[in-house]
Amino acid sequence: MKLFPVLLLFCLYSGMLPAQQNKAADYGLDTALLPCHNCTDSRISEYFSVGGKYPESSMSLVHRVNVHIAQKHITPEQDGFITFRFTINNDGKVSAFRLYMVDEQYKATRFSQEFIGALYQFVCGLQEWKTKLHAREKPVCYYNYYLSFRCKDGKITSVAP
Amino acid sequence: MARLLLWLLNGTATLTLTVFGATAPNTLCHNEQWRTEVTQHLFRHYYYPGPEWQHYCDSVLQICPDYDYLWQMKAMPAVKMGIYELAFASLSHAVVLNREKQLPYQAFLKCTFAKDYEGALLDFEESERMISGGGLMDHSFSFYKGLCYLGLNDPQKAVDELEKDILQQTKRSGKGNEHYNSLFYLGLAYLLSKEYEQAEAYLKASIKAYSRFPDANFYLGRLYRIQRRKTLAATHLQIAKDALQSGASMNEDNNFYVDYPYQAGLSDIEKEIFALCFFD
Repeated sequence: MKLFPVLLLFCLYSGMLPAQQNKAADYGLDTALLPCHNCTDSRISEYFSVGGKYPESSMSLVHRVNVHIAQKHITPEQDGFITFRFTINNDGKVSAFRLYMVDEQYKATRFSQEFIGALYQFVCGLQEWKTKLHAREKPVCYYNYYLSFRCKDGKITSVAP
Repeated sequence: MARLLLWLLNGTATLTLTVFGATAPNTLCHNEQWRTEVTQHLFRHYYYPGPEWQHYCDSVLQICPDYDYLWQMKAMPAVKMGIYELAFASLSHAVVLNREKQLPYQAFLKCTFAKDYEGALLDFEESERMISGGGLMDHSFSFYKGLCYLGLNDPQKAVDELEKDILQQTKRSGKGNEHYNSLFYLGLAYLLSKEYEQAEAYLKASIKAYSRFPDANFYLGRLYRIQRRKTLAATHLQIAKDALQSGASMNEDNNFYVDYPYQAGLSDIEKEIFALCFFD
């Protein structure tokens, strides 16, 4: 126990791995959280805790996002994964964006502003977010969601989740 | 010493006991009871998408950096949130520490969550060399390899792997007891290979095992549309739609988080039903 006071001096948190960096602000994504109307609970759930998976299939999203980027004559300039995390309020509106990008080896990388902008526009255009969800019989005011786009050979090959 | 460490961890999830890294006896980190208590505490007291979960894992890993399961637990929430750098950096530690157990898990996450089918195939190949005939999460390695090949648009290789998966199940449990998802994916692989007779047989077998399986009904409906059997197509597409709307699904544990390859949604089914209108 002699060691205990000494130990407390060293009890400063230091993560084993650096947290992956959120690049939303660098790309001008909207990082502010939209208000939630008539909310009594400001907690943010995860989509899988409240049954909030987007109703359109991943297969359909892959098709639509490829059409979207083709119409803009934009292709991903490298292979990798781009993840947008965001929060949906009880009106089904998205806000508070976070952005993570990795290459094929899951190492941090950057994609072009133009390509990220096109994907961001696609995500903001999705309209079928679930609302009026409940968790433990209480209405859900906010929930987090993510969409991760895998880029391979100049196109989007998959969308998670 | 063990009790002291556990008490400190329990009370101070956000504090990392860096100094213990050097002083904790090696035996403590390999004490099964201590490991169990540490993980039980994690599950009981922290919500895994929250930062406290990560901090608690970090605290334990500062003391016991060779505890592979805690690296896995660090990776798990990150992959479910699409934060892949953190997820796979954590998991790589787990794989180094316990390759036989963690490499298949890494392969599973790449296949199911990240949809990195090439990466998953490499990991599953090596997993199979280590554990011949092995599997995880209710399915064989061959099943997941089949899914990867489907994801890579190589249905013929998917057929080969999914046939192996079915054979493995038949040997183990007898004919007629195969998993409906194995039968479904084999039927789908045959459908994409344009081997319609086999596709019909396997999709029907899947539906026999699980009549309200939305995806099996959807792809059987599509097959019948291709074969211009309009009434049968309409029947199965309607079953698929009704089943999906009433909450039926593939029943894979992780389906709650993520779509599996070729999984159909309501809009896919409605498009297929719409296509029947132009049939005559």
